[in-house]
Order: sequence, then structure tokens, then C-alpha cells
Amino acid sequence: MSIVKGMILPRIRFRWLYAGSVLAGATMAQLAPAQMTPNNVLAGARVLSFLQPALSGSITAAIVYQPGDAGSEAEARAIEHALGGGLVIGSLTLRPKRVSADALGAFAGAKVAFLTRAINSRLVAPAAAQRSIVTISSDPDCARAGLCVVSISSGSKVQITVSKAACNAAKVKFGAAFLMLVKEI
Amino acid sequence: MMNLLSSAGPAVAMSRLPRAGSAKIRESRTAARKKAKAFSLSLGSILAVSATLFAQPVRAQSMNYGALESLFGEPVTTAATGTPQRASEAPANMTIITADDIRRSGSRNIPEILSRVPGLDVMRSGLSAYDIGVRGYQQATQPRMLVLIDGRQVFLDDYSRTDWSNLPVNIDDIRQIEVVKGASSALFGSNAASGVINIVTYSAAYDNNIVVNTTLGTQHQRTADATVMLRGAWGGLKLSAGGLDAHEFDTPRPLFDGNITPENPAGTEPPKHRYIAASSDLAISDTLRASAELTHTRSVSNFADNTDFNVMGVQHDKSYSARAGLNWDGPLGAISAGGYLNHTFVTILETGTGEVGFGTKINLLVGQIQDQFKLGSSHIIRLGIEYRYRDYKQYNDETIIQNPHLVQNFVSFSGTWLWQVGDKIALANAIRFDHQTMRQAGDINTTGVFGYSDYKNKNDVISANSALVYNPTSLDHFRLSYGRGVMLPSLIQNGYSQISSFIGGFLIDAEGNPRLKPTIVQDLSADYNRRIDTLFSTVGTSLFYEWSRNITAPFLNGPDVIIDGLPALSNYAQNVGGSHGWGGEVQIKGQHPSGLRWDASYSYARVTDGSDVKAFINYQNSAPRHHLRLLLGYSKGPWEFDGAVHYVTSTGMLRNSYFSMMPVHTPGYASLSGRVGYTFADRFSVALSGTNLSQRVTQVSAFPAVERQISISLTGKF
Repeated sequence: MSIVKGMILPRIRFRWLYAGSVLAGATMAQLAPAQMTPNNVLAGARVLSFLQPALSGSITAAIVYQPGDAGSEAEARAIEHALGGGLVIGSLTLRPKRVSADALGAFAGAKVAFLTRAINSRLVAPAAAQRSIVTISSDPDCARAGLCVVSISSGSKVQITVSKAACNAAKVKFGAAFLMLVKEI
Repeated sequence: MMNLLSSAGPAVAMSRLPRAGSAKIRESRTAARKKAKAFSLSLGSILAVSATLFAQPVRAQSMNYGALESLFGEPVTTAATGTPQRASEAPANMTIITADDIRRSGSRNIPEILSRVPGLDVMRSGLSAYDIGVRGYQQATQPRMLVLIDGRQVFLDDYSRTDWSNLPVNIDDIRQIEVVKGASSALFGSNAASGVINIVTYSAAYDNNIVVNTTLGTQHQRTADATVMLRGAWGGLKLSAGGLDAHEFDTPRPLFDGNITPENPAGTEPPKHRYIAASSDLAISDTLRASAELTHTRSVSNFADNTDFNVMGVQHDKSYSARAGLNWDGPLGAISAGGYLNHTFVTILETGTGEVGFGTKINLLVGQIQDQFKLGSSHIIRLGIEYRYRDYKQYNDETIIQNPHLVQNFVSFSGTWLWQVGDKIALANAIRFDHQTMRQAGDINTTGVFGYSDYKNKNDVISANSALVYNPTSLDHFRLSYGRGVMLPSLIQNGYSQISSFIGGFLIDAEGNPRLKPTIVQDLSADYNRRIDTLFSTVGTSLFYEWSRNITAPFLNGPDVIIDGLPALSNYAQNVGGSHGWGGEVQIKGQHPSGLRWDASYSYARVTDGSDVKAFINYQNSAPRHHLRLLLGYSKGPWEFDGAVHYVTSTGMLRNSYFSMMPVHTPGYASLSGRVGYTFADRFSVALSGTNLSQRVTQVSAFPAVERQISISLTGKF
């Protein structure tokens, strides 16, 4: 019997370990900030049309990346590509400008900032808020923590989270109809 | 010749009023009436009209539907709760028909497009005459479905019905049609008793829809429609105009149908429609917008008259409307204040001599203030106050027989509370209280059943909605809902007044009944939708149970009365009992990236009437129990191909003939429609469309059969 037990138990333990590792992997994958997809960029640009007062004309869209982080740099390039030479949404044109997370002084003139993975949002948030920049991330935790104005996920369904605290800090305001359609934290 | 029917009901007997040619108006007793000339009365013209309502929020186009739809990848609506919501999350059984759906349908009229919605019954009684019932409740001059254009009521309070041939809207200027099935009075007021249809047009403020269309078709159909817009940072202006000319179907109709005369043996008139609508939206500041709208529309159509137990007639409708509103998006939320005035003339001709029959003038004035705001992160509140005035007058071109002037005032308070309980559960509640007063400000007979004191009447009614929504995943959507709707009597049912005599001096005293109770419609519904990405489809199922009480039947016999010393038979609208129904729908709808699209649905509705309701209205046999719909389409480059098959089972709607009231059996049938469209030079498209294609003539209802229709249209978008 003990032999049998000895044979079975390790298998059970192995299965538990295996299941645990899968779960952990899944959890980590879930916790890892999702990449800013072209759809997120487009949705982020559209969100700007609900600001009050409305933005119009040509504005600078900062793309904040972490130098040295290959993933972040690749994501920045993808966002830049999505914005192209100037993304036009209604009367608004977004012109991309890459900004290193180590040189936030380059934020000057930007009205909106797309945040890539791997940057430290806690450092970026105050600098952006000081300049009334609308920060957009694909990480829901970023808005949940009050570090980004807007978080966007566009998997099977577009989900938008708006941080009241970040809005207040950046002194930006959205229209009531828009806020009734999003998750406001 | 008498046209009184006494049948079925033990306590009440229904009556038809005298037909033209056989009736003479009784000499009036008042000075005004003494001046009146005798004139021939047409059957339906004697009764005509009524109205109802008070309620829906005034929603000018303050919301940027297009931007929100682009952002969320799906239509956005306010029709379910009065607050903005994504279509997939609305706490109501709702279908949204998009501009693409409308174009691909190939149809130039809204009821044909709505016939593709599971749960709706579209009954056609003429080339441009339709009634739209819901969940198995169908009747001519349908009172249960409230219809709005951009939040303004186009439902007519005379009979409580919608004249679909007389809407001031360019079909190419419709962004979406929102259809809510189930009681919606808590939000929109009475007559949204079983549902609401809100037609949303492109916004002068936010959209750029400049479009021109012309269509030629069989039945000598010619239409032309255009919408132009001017938009800037200051706001926008929009102007739409258009019209239709056609010939009525040549299918035979019985002698008792229509305004049959030696000069007009067909008893019909060529359908016609003209409309013009102008709207503006001005941005006063970043948070304050002002809007205004003026419309005029007139039409001729051959329709079925419910107050005369479904006799066909000809109606000439003419409407004017004016609307203004302010929308302020401030620290107190989204506050909107506004109002509108609808002024409508209706003239009805039925079997007779071709003289002007019966006419009504109705006014509707609505003023409303509402505020929508968020409380914390999880609660959305909407509060509204509304004042509504409506009145009703009868008229004839030359002679006033009786001169009733019914005046009704309403004050309403309403509220909506949406609670996002968690990530997966939401609760939506709405309630509305309406206080109605009425008076008779005109000249009515005082020796009949109801006198002036009866008109000093009040009604307090409550409407409510509640829904529990559960979204276990982003793909699944469960919903349990309850609705309590209110359907007020129509203005004709409340306020009609006429004394007429037949040959032989026999008197008929037709009266409005100010003591009618509102019909209360309640429903329970359970719905489940699931998106199946692997099939590129969404599957939806729905089950409902609906019950009504205090249903009103038009003009049944009452007690004998004495008028000018002569005996007279009174008749007036009466509450005749209740009815209940149940049923369900299942639908799969989707689109493949290759360009193939599909929409297959089955719906079932079974109604059981109380004995008097069955005898005098017969809901339980008036709508098909089974509907099968299959829509298939394919787009390839500049080409679009769409086809639809719709099969319905038989009906047995009651119809009046000269002497009797009897069910008319209409066998089940399948109808085939289709469209082929081709786009060229980027902004032009040409399309060949057809309806009822499978046979030359199809009997689709108890009314004259409809013919095959084929048309070709040219559209330019700029």
C-alpha cells in the first residue's frame, strides 16, 4: 500500500504543482500590463473628444517609454506607428512625440500622453498632472491607482476606466454622457 | 338602414355609427348647430379620433452618438433608461437597427424595416398604411407602441396611433432606430405601454450627413428625399425635405371599404407624402448648447380605422411641430430643459359620397426638465419633471355638428436609478407618477350619458420598470425585468361627441367616455444574449409574460337616452376586461469578415383574451403566433446583395362589414424581399429592391391584399 501511495502521491503533488504554476502564470499574465494596441490608441484618441472644454486643432501626443526596456521601446514604436504622421479624430489631430521617462521635461506642449509598459507611473503622473496632460494607459491598475486619467482595454469589448483623482489632479473634465458609459473610479 | 351590431357580450353591445349616404345629421339644438347644414356622414368619419399620452423625456440631440459608437464599437442608446448606455448593456429587451441595416433592407419606409425585428408584428392595410404591434398584440390604429423621432412624440393622440405615412423624416438621415419591447411608460409616459420606437436622426451638431435620394418603382412610386447640413464650431444646421407619390394597390376591396363613389369607384386616393424638417444646434459655450427644430408634414393614405371596427378609409393628415431645448453639462450633471408643440389636423373619409367626412384638430404641448448625474462611482440618477397639455376638437369643413373641445393637463414626476452593484451585476429601476386632469371646454349634448361634470375628472397613474442584469463574462448578458405600463384612453374615446339620425328618425348618440380607466399593461421578461466569437455571431433568447387590465373597446352600446324628446341609443368606449399573453424569441445574428452576414430568428406569441375583449377586439387572433425570419447578405467590393424571407402563420382579425362583425381568416404566408446595391465614384450608389417578390399579390392581413413592389433608387452622399 505504501508503495502504491508513494507512487500516487508524487503524481498528485506534481499535478498540484503543475496547476499552481499554470494559475500563477495566468495570474502574472493578467497582472502584467497589457500592451497598448492600435485599437487602444484609436480609442484613446477618441476619448479626447469628450473632454470639456473640447480639444481641437493639432496637438502633441507624447508617447512615454522606458529607455533600455525593449518591450517599452517596441510599444512606443507601435503607438507612434498607429498615430502615423497625425491621427485625425473629428477636428482634432494628434501628432506623436516620443518622450523618455527619464526626461519628462520633454512633456512640454503635450496635451495627451500614451504610457507604455515598464515605465514608473508614479513618477510620470505628477509631471503629467502638473501640465494638465491626459494620460492614457492600457493598464487598468494605472487608473485604479489614480496614476492615469484613462485606462483602456479593447479585447473582446472596449472597456474604459477613468480616474476621478487623476482627473482632479490634472484639472481635466469629461462630459457627463461619456462618464455614464465608463467605469469611473 | 341601421348598422348596429349586438352580439357576443352579455353586458355590452357594440355599435357602428351610421354610414354616409344613409345618415343625416340631426338638427342641432344650439344656435350654432341650427346654422349647421345637414351633411352626409361616413361611417368611420363619425367616430374617428382620439389620443393619449403625456410623458417621454424631451431629448434633443445633445449626445454625440457617432463619437460614442466609434469609441465603443457598438451603438449607444438612451431609450432603455433615459441615460446613455451601450446597446449590449441596456437593461431592456432592445433592438437597434443601424443605418447600414436600413440601407441594406432596400426599403424606403420604416415599418417594412421594422418587420425584420423579432417580436414585432407589422400589419399593412394599404400601400403606405401600417400598424406595428408587439408581442402578439395587434390592432388597427395601434395604441400600444409609442413612436418618437429624436425624442419628440410623433404618435398621434387622436386615435392613439402612429400614422407611419406622415413622418417628417428622411430615411437616409436616420442614424438608428431603437426598439424597446416591454412596458416603457416609466420613462416615456403612457402609450409606451408595450414598447417604444425611437427614431434617431443624424445630429446637426456632430454629424455630416449630406444625402440625396430618388426612387422610382411599381405602383407609380416616385420618391425624392434630401438632407443638407452646415456645421462649424458654433454648432450646426440641418434641413431635410422630401416626398412620395404613388398609386394605391389595385387589389379588390369590399364595398364597405373606402370612400367609394361613382367618381371614385376604387374608394381610395393615391398615397402622397410631403415633409420638411429644419433643426439647429448651437454651442453657446463648452458646456451649454441650445437646439431648435421645426417640421411640417402632410400625407394622404388609405388606412384601417379601429374606432369603426377596422373599416378602411382615406385619411389626410397634416402636422406642424416646433421644438426648443437647452442642454447644460455642468457640476450638477447633464441638465436638459425644453419643450415642443405638435399641431395636427386629420380628415377622414370613409364609405360615402365623397364629401368631407370627419376631422379633428389636436394639439400637444410638452415641457420638461431633467437632470442626469452620477452619485459616487456606482450610481446614476435621472430626475425629471414634465408638464403636458393636449386638446382635441372635432370639425367638418362646413358644419359643426357637436363642438366638443376636450382639454387634458398632466404633471409628471419621474426618476431612474442605475446601480452598478459590482463588476458583473447591475440594477436598473425607473418610476413615474402622472397626475391627469381633464375638462370639457366645448359644446356637447347634455342629455346623454355623460355631462360636463363627468369631464371634471382626474387620474393618477404610476408606471414602473425594474431590471436585474448579470454579466458573468464580457460575452454573456442575462436580464430579468418587470415593467408596468400605462395606456390612457385616446382623445376620441374620452372626448367624442355626436348625435346623428338614421332614416326613420332613429337617433344615435355617440359620446366620449371621460370615466374610462387607463389600461394597465404589466410584463415579466427573462433574456439571455451571448456573443460567440468563433461563429462571428450573437445569439439572443427571450421569454416574456404580459398581462393587461381595463382594456378599452371603442364605441359599444350603452343605455337608451332621450334627446329632444326622442329615444336615442347611446354608444361610447368602455373598459371590457383583460387579456394576457406569453411567448419568446430566439435569434442568431452575425457577420463574417468575408462579407457574409446573417440574421435568423423565430418568435412566438400567444394571447388569451377575456370574453368581452375577444368579442370586441380579438387580440388573440389578430397577430400571427409564429414568425420565422431569415436575412442573408453579402458584400464584395462595391456590391451589396441582401435577401430576406419572412414566414408568418394565419390570423383572424375582426372586421366590420355593413351588417356584421366577423373574423377574417388570413392564411399563413411567406414573403420574399431583396436588394442589390452598387456603389460607384465613392459617393453614389444605385440599388434595385423588391418586396413581396414571391407572388404578384399576397394577402398579408384582413385588409386588401398587397402587390409585389419593385423599385430602383439612386443615392448620393456628399
